[in-house]
Amino acid sequence: MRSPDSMTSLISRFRTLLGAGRTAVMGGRVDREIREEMLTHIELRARDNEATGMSSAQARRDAELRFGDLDQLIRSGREQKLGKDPLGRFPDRVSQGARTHLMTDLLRDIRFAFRMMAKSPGTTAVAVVSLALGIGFNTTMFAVVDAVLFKGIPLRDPDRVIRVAATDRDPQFIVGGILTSYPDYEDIRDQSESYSGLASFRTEMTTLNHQGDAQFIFGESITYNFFSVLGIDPLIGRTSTADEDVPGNHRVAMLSESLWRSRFAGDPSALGREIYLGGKPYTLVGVVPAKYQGGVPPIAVHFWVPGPATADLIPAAASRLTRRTSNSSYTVGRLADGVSLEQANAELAGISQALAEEYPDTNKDVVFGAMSFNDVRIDPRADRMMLPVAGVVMSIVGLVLLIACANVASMMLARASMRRQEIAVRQALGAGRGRVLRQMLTESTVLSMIGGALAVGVAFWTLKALLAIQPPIVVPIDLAIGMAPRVFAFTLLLALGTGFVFGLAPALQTTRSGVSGTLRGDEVDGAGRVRGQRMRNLLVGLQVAVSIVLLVSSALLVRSLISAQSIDPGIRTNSIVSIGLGLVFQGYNPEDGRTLHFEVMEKVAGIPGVESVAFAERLPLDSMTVLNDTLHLDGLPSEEGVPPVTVDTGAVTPEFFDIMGIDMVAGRRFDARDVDGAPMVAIVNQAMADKVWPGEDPIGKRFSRSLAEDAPIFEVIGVNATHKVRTLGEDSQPHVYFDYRQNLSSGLGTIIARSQRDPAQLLEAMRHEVTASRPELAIMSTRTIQEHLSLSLFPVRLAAMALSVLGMLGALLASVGVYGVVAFAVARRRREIGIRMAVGADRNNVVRMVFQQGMRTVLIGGAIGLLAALAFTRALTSILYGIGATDVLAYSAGVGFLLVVAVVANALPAWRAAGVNPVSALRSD
Amino acid sequence: MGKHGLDLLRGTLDLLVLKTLATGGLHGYAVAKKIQEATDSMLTVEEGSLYPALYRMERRGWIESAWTVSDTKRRVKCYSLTSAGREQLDGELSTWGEFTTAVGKVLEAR
Repeated sequence: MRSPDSMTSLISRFRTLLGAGRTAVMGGRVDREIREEMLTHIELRARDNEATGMSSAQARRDAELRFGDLDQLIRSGREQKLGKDPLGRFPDRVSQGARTHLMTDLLRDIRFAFRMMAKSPGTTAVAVVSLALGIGFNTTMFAVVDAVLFKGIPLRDPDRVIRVAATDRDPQFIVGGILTSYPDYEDIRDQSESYSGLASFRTEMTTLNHQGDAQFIFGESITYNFFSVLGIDPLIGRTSTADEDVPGNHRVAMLSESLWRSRFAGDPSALGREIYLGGKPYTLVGVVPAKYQGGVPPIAVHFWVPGPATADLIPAAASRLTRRTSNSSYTVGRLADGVSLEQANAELAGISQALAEEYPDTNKDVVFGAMSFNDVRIDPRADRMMLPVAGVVMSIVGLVLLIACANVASMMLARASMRRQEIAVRQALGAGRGRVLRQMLTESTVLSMIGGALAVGVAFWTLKALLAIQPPIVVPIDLAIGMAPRVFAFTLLLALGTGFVFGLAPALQTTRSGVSGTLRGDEVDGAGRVRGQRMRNLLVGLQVAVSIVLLVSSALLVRSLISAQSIDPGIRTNSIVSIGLGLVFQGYNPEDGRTLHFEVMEKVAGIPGVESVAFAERLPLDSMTVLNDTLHLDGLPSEEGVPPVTVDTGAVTPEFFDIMGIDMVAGRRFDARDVDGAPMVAIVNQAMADKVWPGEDPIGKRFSRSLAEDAPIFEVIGVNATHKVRTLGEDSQPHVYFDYRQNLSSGLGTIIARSQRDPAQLLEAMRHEVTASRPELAIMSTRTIQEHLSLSLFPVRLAAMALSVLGMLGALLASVGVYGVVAFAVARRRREIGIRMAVGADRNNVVRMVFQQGMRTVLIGGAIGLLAALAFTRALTSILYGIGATDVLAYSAGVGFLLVVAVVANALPAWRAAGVNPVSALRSD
Repeated sequence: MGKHGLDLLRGTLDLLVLKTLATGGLHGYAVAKKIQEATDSMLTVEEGSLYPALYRMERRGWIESAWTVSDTKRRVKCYSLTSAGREQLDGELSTWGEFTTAVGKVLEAR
């Protein structure tokens, strides 16, 4: 305690000076007397010290050090003398200089906290690291959830900005309720008077060609008033004008600040230059500041073009601007001065009715409504779906923080009971309970603030790692997720909160017990339990329980991943590579896209080593693309014939089946007969045949893909063996293949090639063939079939990875908790153990006793955790392949891992207990 | 804490101070020094405990204090035992005797 240390000495000398000054100002005869008495003492001691050969400075410092905190001593001395509130029930000092004391007390408490931490660096480090990880993970997840759900878009007068949407549309679709059709937007704009401006925007994706490099980017096509409605001014240049909303004048573009900085080095002279979007030239007229990153967070968008450009970007969807059934636009408006949301809604109700009468086919029963812009994140329905997901994710990382907090609380309890004596003395000397509480809370808060500061680093790192994981989506997504100020605020709150929560319980517990018992040295209560042990046992039990839930969940997912490997997808899984061009996003219409696909296939077929080439509109097990058709059997409406069936479909070229190793069960494959203009043909899978034509020969059956007069009739010419369509875990899924030569595709699709060549080399060669002949093309993806298949397990793998990390961390923290509690109990019970050994208990007995007591807590916590895991893992059933949610092996692995860790954490201090020397244990504590 | 060898057993500080003052009045530093010398430096009274103990006992009326001038011509505060203090000392001495006997019995038990 009194180890001389130059820093402490400096501080104490400084404090003596400071204290002297303060006392002189504040006066007080008693204080002066005490100070004089003590200074005399110091002088006398220093003189005696010098007599033993110390230097005079050394002698003085030693004498001062013995007094430690002189001010504190003087104050408590005064209170002793005056007999002020000797039991310390209430906060001392109410009147004179209370504020000064509060501040100096706080500073002193903080210094004291650092000194206490420096005294046990190991414990402190464990506590700080636990907190840093716990708080850090929570910060990371909060940053994600905040970006997706809560972070509003910075608007001028945000309360006045609204969205208009059909409030009753598309009940079965997750996303889309917030979208309106462009003609509806135009009608509302022209008929309403509630808005100072009503704008429309649509999310777009296309390629940006710049200096020979093509990349896919997200953007928005907008009406000219869009930015003025939102209240966002361009960083440089201008936004588009009403003139440029006229088709033909529309080739102007604005870029995001980040893209302008990365592609044009932030050069203002880039304005006026031509940029190529979707292969067509646009004049760059402005740069949008980084604070606006798009209307559909958290996907960051990078370009803006006038509305008519949408027809350039995706020619196949040009009718989006004219079809009332195409709900693809977001409508936003700014309320005119003096108009309330209610008034706007009343007006919209009238307009809806007028539109319903004018266009009964499309607008019957459609009611438009206005809502505050920032009340909606992505889509009201999607928002509602995300909230529970966010809740689950946040509660999982919250559990880890809980484990960490339990550890720290446990350490604080241990430290507090170690200092019980000191605290009891302080209380006896008149320090109020409030004062002691404050001091202990300061300590835990200092600890948690250090943890919180490190947590920011942890969050930076994990967020970076998290964003580096690209989901298997058609385009690289640029998520606008970062450490925003509110994320920092969250971290700060979390750190303060945890510091308070885990500091309060130990502080209350330590200060509650009577002063006298502690001064007598009662560390063990009547039943032989060490004080504070019950609460610590509770915390450890909790940690064990939570860890078991996390470990079992991760074990289930890992098991599921392993068992997924053994599921037969029904397709060849080697020697195939694929290249995706995403032509629909590169300004190609379906016809030109098909021509280009065949052109590229020919080039690829010419690459040495390529055995066979085919096109597939959608590869089996593509987890991000769903293509389906509603088939009308016999081409009849359902009232008059068989009800229509909705099945997954896709266009392929004849070689597809051979390359993919998909066998025919009956009939024939597509071949040279099935060209454009020949009778339309289709190949169904066994599952489709069984479902739609049970017990009949499917060959020769007919259906159409629409009820239009001129809809072509397809004839089934073959039945292919059923392969997995959407997920590895699915049951047999009906599916229909069409011939790409007879049908246009959705504009997606990949070219696949079979070859024994090294896949990396081959893909590079294919990439080269494409860019050599079409340098303006961007390539969406190049993958081997194995990579493609592993992407279908992406969600499970991500979940397994995250839960494994959290589970291991949880178990590790829990084992630290177990170790801490047992080791502390042993330390506290040295005397008892010493007596036991003195009266004849042998080492094994002692080890067994300590070990059993520690394990009891672990086992009780474990049992509770097991029950909780059984309840929790039911939620995982939908993403488990080939195993049930109660898989015995996974449970054994999760529980077994924790038990092993717990046994080790228990055994170490138990063995150490056996090393207690009875004599020294009895002599002192 | 190890630096000073044995730490003071709990509750014994009052006893030691009272006993030290029983032979005559002393100032604070002298009390500490005397205890240290009497125990061949095995026991060290910490200043942080000494003065609060002195003030506490003074308030309880076991000891009284007065400013005097020491042998070395220094203004010091001198403490001496009151009659209540003497009674207290006697009581604590007998308790201490009982305690040490009990501990001795445990340690010698086989």
